[in-house]
Amino acid sequence: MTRLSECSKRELSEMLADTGIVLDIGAASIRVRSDSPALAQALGTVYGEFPVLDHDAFCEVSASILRVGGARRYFHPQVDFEVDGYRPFEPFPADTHLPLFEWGVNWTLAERFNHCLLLHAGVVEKLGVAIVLPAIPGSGKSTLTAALMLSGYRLLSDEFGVVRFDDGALLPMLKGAALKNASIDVIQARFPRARLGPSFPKTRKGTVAHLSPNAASVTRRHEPALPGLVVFPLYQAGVETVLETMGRSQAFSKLVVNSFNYEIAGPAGFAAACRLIDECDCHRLIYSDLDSAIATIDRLTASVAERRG
Amino acid sequence: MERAWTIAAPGETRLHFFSDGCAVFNPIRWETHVIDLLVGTLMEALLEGPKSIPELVAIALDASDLPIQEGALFVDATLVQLSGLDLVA
Repeated sequence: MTRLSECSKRELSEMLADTGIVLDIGAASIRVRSDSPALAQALGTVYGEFPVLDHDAFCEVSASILRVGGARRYFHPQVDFEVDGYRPFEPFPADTHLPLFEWGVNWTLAERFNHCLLLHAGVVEKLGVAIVLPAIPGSGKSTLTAALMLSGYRLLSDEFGVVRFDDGALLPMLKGAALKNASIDVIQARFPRARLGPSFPKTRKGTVAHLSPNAASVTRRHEPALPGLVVFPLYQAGVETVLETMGRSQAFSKLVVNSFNYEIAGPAGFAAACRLIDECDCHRLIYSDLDSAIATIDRLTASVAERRG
Repeated sequence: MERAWTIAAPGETRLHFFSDGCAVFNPIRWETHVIDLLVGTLMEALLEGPKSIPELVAIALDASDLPIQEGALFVDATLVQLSGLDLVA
């Protein structure tokens, strides 16, 4: 099957402007249309390992990134995010097309994806053990999640922990991992072969660049994973790595705070969160050194895998 | 006759025990509370059916090292708190 990275810039631009590009990200599919050739090129890089799909495939989200018309486009060009005919945000500067697409789609998924418990968490998997990394913004979650993928873990998501209600399995929601500010240089320096999309300076979150999900993660994007670890990461410059075991009730409290739809889900969300905590070892990881943090998670993962046999 | 305490919404209330505490889904307020294990034990007893205060005190004493006097005070205080949260009535 043809991958997006195998398409020419012109093919991507035409597809994006005409029928749209369909991204099957695992738990959902997204159709994106746009008249921005720069967005086509960025999608081709960040989603390069994703297959080119039929444009008429069912999609949970149909989004457009459209250049704003009028005289303003000559001196201050902007783009709008539109989903199913609705424009939930004010326009963004035209040169922040990919961040607007990513944030808009994340917002839409967070609003709609209520048939699963949706955690604000990175999720990776190795040795059959899924590691959930819930955190508030600024905790170093995306950086650590990206580093784990680049160190041999399967990436399920850097933003959404998707917990299926009926069996507690974690579903992939595979998108570009949004790295911000210093994290971009940290990842590029530590993993020179990491495939990053363009950098977007001066966004509302500073400079943003998106790490491309690797081929192994994309190939397995329909494969659920069994949770085994919940690790709450916290980046603190200059500290030695600290790993603390957390009591389950405390971990439960912190987990549900890091959910998009726990309150909407009611008893189903409660049951899913309790089950997830019961099935996982729960820790707090304070780190500044990526290699040390990865080694710590490697040990935890191997320990759970060994216990499971 | 001794008043019997009961769970306010027994069919919809959810109680889950962890090793270090309990989580309760409160269907009346649509909220979640994390409570200690002894309070969870009282909630569990009430989920099985209405209980009088002496019955609850006996359950609390059985599940803890509390002396009788403190066990009775603990049950009284717990029921006040749980009723304030609309969990028991």
